Amino acid sequence: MQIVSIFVKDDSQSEGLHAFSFDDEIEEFSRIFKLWRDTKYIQDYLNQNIENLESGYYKYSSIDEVIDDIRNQAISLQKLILQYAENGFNTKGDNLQMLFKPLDNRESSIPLHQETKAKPDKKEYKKPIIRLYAIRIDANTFILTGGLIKLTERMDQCPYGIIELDKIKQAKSFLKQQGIKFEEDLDNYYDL
Amino acid sequence: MKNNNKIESIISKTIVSKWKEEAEFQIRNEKWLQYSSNIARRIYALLEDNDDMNQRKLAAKLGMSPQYISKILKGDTNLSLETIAILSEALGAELIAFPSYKYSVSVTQSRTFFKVIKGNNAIALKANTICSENNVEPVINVYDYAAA
Repeated sequence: MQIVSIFVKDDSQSEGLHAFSFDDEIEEFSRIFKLWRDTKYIQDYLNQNIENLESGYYKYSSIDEVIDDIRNQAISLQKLILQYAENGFNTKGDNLQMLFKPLDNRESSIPLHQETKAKPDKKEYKKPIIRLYAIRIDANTFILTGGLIKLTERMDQCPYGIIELDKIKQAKSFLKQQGIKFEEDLDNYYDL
Repeated sequence: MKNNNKIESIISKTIVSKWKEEAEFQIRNEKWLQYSSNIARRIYALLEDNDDMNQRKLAAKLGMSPQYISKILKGDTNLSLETIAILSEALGAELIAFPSYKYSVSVTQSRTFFKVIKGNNAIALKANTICSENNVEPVINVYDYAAA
């Protein structure tokens, strides 16, 4: 397992966004966006999770509409992240914490070492279907653990969500081994 | 020691992310990638519905590699019109359609008439009438403009 820099503040080697590589080949940021633009992967994924899709949690009228939405939301999220990378992210009201919110919707602020998620802009998409997951290890410093096409209300309601939760646990365990201290260790995760 | 400083010491020196180039490519080429994805979805559905055909057989039928068919199904291949036509014929279905435009609507419904004043009567000629600025030669039909 390795940590790869995605982008950092000009005068820093660490403050910014990083991503885990679980296979020591590709980091999660690139891997996840690669999947979200892979039409066959999305079609297979939706076919495998058709019951969740039909449950009515999301109001899509067709598979085609879901695929378009996933692709469009992924592009929107990339644009947002490019903005942070290019225009800076350390000014008041424009830090990375604006993008990465607590994984648990019931928390209004992010304590240090908290699990977080990023979604496309809510002004553009009322109910975003994709998520990026990251661990905040310091002010303005996040390490991405993965992402999900979230078809259920809670992450632990689908196998892919459970995999992502497991990756967060693995990532935290790795960070602890590296001497990164966690003030808390949540056993339960929510992504409502 | 702050967590930030510790992270700095364990950041990978061997893996370099290409996320920025990839994101910029996606944004720059959004439109044709959308076309490619739509074609991929149709190929996927046709293969799904045809028990006698799969990616491997389709590749063999077209003399393409299975890897290339797999790449096409990802929806990020800039397909040529020739490739789209070959795939379409092999699968026995159209993969793209063309929207109606002014020359594809019914002639009787067309509103693209050339108005010609002849005495006090206005007449209209069909759109494919050959005309020039001072000389109008109706080739097919002449319609009574008032009734058109």
